[in-house]
Amino acid sequence: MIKWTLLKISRDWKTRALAFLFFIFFASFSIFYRQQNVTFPAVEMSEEYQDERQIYRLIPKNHFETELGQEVQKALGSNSVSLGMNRYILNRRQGNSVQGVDGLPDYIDNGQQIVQNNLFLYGAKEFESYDLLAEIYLPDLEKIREEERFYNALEKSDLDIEWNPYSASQMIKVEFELLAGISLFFFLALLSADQFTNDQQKHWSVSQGLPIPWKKQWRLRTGILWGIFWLSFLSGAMMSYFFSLLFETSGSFQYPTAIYYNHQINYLPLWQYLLITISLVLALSYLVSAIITALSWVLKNIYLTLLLGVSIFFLPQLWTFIQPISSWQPSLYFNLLEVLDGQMALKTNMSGVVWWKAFPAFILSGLIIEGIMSRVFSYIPSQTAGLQRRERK
Amino acid sequence: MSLEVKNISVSYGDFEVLKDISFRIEEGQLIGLVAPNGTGKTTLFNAIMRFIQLKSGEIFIEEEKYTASDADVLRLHQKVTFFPDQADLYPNFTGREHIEMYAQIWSGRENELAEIISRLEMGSYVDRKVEEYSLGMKQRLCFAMMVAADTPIMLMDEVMNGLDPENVSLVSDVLIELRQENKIVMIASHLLDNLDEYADQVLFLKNKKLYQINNLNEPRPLYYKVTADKKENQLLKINNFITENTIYLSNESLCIPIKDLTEKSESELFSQLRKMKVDRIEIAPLGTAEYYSYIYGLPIHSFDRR
Repeated sequence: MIKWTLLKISRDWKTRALAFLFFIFFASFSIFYRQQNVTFPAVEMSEEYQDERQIYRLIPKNHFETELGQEVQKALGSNSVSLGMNRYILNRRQGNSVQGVDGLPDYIDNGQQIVQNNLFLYGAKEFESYDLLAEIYLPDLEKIREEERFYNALEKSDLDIEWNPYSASQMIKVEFELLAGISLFFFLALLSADQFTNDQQKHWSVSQGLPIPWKKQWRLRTGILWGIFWLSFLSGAMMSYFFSLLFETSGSFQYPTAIYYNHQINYLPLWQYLLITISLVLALSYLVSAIITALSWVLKNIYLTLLLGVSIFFLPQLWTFIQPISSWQPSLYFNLLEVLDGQMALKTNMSGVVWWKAFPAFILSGLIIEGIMSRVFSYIPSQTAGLQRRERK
Repeated sequence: MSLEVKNISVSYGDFEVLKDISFRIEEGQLIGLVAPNGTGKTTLFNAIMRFIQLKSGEIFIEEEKYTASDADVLRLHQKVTFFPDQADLYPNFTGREHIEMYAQIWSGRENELAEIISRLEMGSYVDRKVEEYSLGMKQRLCFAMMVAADTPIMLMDEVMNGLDPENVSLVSDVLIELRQENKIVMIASHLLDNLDEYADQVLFLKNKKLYQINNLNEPRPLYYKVTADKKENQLLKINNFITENTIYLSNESLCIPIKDLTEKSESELFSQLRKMKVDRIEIAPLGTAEYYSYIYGLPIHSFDRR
């Protein structure tokens, strides 16, 4: 049956066209992404530098006259120097330090200094212009801690600051993240929405009455579609990575990358982040493909199946209006990107929504869908209308 | 192997299509299923396959009941195949792939493909894509798929559809071979004379019910079958040759049962018919076509239709 299902799917012109288009889309991703407007770290640093200069001017001079005021002034001054130097380092694009000049702090030293200064400023609540400082200049405490963890991770990795957001390794990260969003649902819906419907409407007498359980046929189709999708994606992504190596710097797969767990943003080497992301998307894509293929057995309207398939992505939004009961609720994990960056934990006020819980959540979802489909597959699919109840007499 | 259907009733909403259908078929039998269009032949096949919901009734294979449970339906589908509609074939598959698919899924007879293809004389086109096939080629392919599936029970709906006389004969021969292999084959067909060539029984559906079963293997009553126009018919009536059980058929035929005639009156009838120089005189049992005409009341609109 595997051979015939594979032949049926692979000889369908729509499947072939989609697989080819997916490949082209993913393969050309790095080329098109280079045309996007991305804020370079050097520009961000310049903006921070400007902010710092601004706050310095806004605070009345006499507030700096107290002992604490002088400490604050010193911290702001130190930030100004460090930001200016880091901006210079980023613009030079030659690593973490200024080549040919010894004794100057490098990018990481400056970053860690800024963190220390900001932590001090955050605690300087007695300072007369503290409200102004906190409102306009200071990031919140978690953000400062996050920066601290980043500089520590960068120091540990012994890598230079990545000045190029278009580097090959950063682009592959963006490409993987694209797949962790709504596009995954959209692509899979396009691929799977007509699978059983087509057979029921156009090949009814050849596809009904086979001595093979519907459940087995469903799993088989899901697996094949899933395989075709991943073949297109992985070959496309490899091609895209190859193109980006031709035009941009390579970047590093050891580069510290933010991911949410243990109630905070932490930094893992990029390769680990990619491995986690791809594993999660692999699991989610199988689940979504299974749901949409099952819907194509139940519904005779391809557009409705497509719509319902894509709408699964928006299920987690429900929990931003209604307080979820537990962080183990499977539907919290359908928007993977927000799970990875901690947005889902923030929005739902549940710090337990972390990436690794997505695996058991997907397994649980899979079991629930298997249970539902065991019941649904005992109905009789008709050629034109919906399902008929089968008397179990 | 036997197939038994007990008290099957089927409704589409409030519209009852089949009511209380029962029959039993032993192995090695070719069964014709006959009825005008829309009378429920395909519905009966769909009901046996459990493709539709039964209002009531039971299905037994080899005395074992097959319910509508998932497990029973799956077991049923291992033993019974349904004739594919040629419009449902996969246009981008070759004929050989279709046959191989059915063989692999049901019987595992992939090594006999060449034999099946040769027997059905499909060698010249079987490796082409189905989208290039004519109606008749597709129909032969559908039949070959059933042969390859090789299940003990086969339900063939409109199996001769679109076939030329040569291929009707070919398929009929293979059907006879299937009987020799002890298969149960139910054939819904409108080629009624063709059914007489090979069918063991013919089932007639009428008014939602199984109206009549003709066993073609048992001795059947003989009739004088005469083609007579209105005037000739009147003459026979006047001379008391038209008995109470005489059957009028739509093609101007009179069928006078021999059992109603004495040896003397039979001889007189024959002399009279010779004198009248009627178009046709035949002494034979009624064929399926004649029963069809009789059962479904195809009216004699005109004795003068020539």
